[in-house]
Amino acid sequence: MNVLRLGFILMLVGAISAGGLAFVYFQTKPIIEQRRVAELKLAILEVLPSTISFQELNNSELKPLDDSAMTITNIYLGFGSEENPVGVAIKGVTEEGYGGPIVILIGISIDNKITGIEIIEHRETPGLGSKIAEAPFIGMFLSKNINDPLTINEDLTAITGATQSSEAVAKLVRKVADYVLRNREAWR
Amino acid sequence: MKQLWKDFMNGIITENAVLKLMIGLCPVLAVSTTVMNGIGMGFATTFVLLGSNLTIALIRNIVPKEIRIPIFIIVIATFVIITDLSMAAYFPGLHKALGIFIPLIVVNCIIMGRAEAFASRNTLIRSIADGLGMGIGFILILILLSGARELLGKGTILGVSLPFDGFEPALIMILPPGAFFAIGIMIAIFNNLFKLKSNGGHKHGSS
Repeated sequence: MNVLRLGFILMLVGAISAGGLAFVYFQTKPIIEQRRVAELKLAILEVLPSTISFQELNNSELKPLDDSAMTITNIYLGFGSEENPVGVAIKGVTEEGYGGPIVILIGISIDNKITGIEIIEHRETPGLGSKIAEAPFIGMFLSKNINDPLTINEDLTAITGATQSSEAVAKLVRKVADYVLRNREAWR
Repeated sequence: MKQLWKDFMNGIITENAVLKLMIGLCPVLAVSTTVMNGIGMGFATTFVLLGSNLTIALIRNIVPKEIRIPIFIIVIATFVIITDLSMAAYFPGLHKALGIFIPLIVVNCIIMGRAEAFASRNTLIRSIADGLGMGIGFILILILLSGARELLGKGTILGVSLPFDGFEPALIMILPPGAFFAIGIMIAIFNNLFKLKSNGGHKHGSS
C-alpha cells in the first residue's frame, strides 16, 4: 500500500509541476515565436537588401545537395515592389566546421550576385575561427557571381589560423551557389 | 536575525560553492568567457536555487522521506524550465549565448546540494537566506572569473574596449585552459585571504 501512496504523491507533485509549466509555456510561446520571426526577417533583409516581403518554399521543393556534410534547410524567395522575386535567401548548414555545425544564410540576387552572407550559428574557436562571422571575411563573398570559383586560394583567402573554418564556409557557399545555378529557373 | 545573516554569509564566504565546496564548477568554467554570460548564468542559477530552496522548505514536512530526491528533482527541473522559457522570451541574446548550460542547471550540484543539505531541514526564511547567499556567492565568483577572462583574453569588459592601446589580449584566457588557470589562482587567493584551508574540513564534490 505504501508504494501506491508514494506513487500517488509523486504523481501529484508531477501534475502540479506540469500545470505550472503549461502556464509559463503558453505565456512565453507567442513572444518566443514572434522574436524568431522578427530575427529571421531581419536576417533576410540583411542578406537580400531589396526585399520587402518573402515567402518560404515548401520542404518538398528542396532538393538535397550533392554533399553529405551539408544541407539546405530553408529557401526564402524575396520579393520587392514587383511581382517577380528579387532573389533568394538560402539557409544552409555544414558539418565541416572546426567546432561543430555552422549555419549560414546566403542571399543571392536574381542577377546571380551574392548580396549578403550571415553566419547564424557557429561554435568556432573564439578569436580565430569566430572571425568567419566578421566583415573582412564575409566581405570577400559580396558581389561575387555565383559562377565564380568561390574557392580558397583562388578568389578567396582563408583566415590565418582558421583554415578549416574558412574552408567550411567557402564550400557551403560554393555548394549553395551551384544549387541556385541548377534550380533558378524553377523560381522565376 | 543574527542566524539569518550567518546563513546568508555562509554561501558567500564560509562555504562558497565554487571556491570552498568546489561544486558547480562545470557551468562556471564553461560560460565565464564574457562578463555578460557570467552575470546571466549567475542570475539564472540564483533564481532556480531560490525557487527550489523556497518550495522545498515549504513542503519539507509533507514530503515522504523515501521519495524526497525525485520530488526535489521535479521541483528543480520545473524552475529550470521556467527560467529557460522566460530567458528565451525576454533575453534571447543571452539565451542563445548560454545555450545548453541553462537546461543543465538541473544537474548543478549546488542546487541539489542545498535542497538536500539545507532546505529540507530548515525553516522557510532560513532557506531563503541560504539560497540568496549561495546564489550571490555564485554570482560574485562568476563576475570575478569572467571579468578576469574577458579582460585578459579579449581586452574588453562587458564588451567595451579598454581606453588605452598597447594591450595584446592573450586568447588562451577565453579558451578552456584559461578557465582552469583563472579558477586555480582564484582558489589560492581566496583560501589565503580567509585562512579557511586548515579548518574547512574536506568537503569535496564534483560537477
